[in-house]
Amino acid sequence: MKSHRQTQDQIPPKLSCAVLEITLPAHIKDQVLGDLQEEYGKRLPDNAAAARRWYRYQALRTVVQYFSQFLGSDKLLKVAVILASFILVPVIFVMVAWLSNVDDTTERVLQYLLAGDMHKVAITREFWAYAVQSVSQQKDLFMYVNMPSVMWASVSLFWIGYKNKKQLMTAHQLALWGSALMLLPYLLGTFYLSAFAMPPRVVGPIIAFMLLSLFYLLVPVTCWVMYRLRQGSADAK
Amino acid sequence: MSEKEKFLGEFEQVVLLALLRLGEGAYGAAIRQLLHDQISRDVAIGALYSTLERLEKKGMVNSRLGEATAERGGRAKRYFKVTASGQTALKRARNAMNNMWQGVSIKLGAGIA
Repeated sequence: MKSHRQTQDQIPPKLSCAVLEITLPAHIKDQVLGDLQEEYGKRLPDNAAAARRWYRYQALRTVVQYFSQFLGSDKLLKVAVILASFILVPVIFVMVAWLSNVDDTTERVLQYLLAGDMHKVAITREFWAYAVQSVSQQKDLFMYVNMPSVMWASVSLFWIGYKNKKQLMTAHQLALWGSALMLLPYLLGTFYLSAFAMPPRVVGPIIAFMLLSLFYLLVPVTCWVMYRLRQGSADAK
Repeated sequence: MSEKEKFLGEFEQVVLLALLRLGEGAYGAAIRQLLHDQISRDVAIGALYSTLERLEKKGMVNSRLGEATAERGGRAKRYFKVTASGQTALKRARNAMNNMWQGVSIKLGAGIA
């Protein structure tokens, strides 16, 4: 008669099984779990502890494999670009309106502005309290026009178009280039403002360039990536 | 098929050869075992299935569901088979390697057969 321990050993490690159940794609789940259980059963008579270690190791490597694939997946990219647009476009829109109208703010927010840390400003209560007021008051859309940003966005889109024509880029490559060109003015601006103490009248145009370059590029890059993703899935069919 | 897709990676070649050697009995655990026994390669089952899926998408392999067994917890096996396209790609890879090896000699160290 089998002991309780022997019966327990025949069941692969439960936590590893559970993790695999969650991670594995549905169409191969049964086959992978079946293969692992089959091999585990063959290893068990030699050394039960080693068999369990082997199963856990296989589970870990498999999880890492499929998680890496997921990170590079089209689905995740689609979600990421849509989410980025939905969040950043209104935030930057409101931020530019607020910056154009703000006369007075707290010391903390002022320090963030002078250092170019707009991402920190975006999470302060003071900004959101002023921001809603500013948007409802603001009528002049010319505050959203910034020539250096227009030039940067034009050159960036041209550059991406040129690279894409030379060798057709994947959606991931487009997203990577787009993100790099969107973020470069922001990162350079933040670095410059934190390294050199600039008076407020000089900081304003720099912040405008940092924010509006991103703003102008977000929608075209998102549309381009989505178009490429749709092309990719049409090609696959 | 794009130019890139016509060439087989090293692991893809090894997997296709394993399928040819195993014939009708080529399923996940058996392929893994063969690779371990023949070339001492301890392949993660996830990496193996990832490669098989990729090969199936390229049309070099096809698969069918087999029987479920108690030792597999009642789960069915999936058998894989190399298609004509896969065999062509393998021959191409072998010819390419043979051509590159022409005129190359590597001296083996002492003690190695």
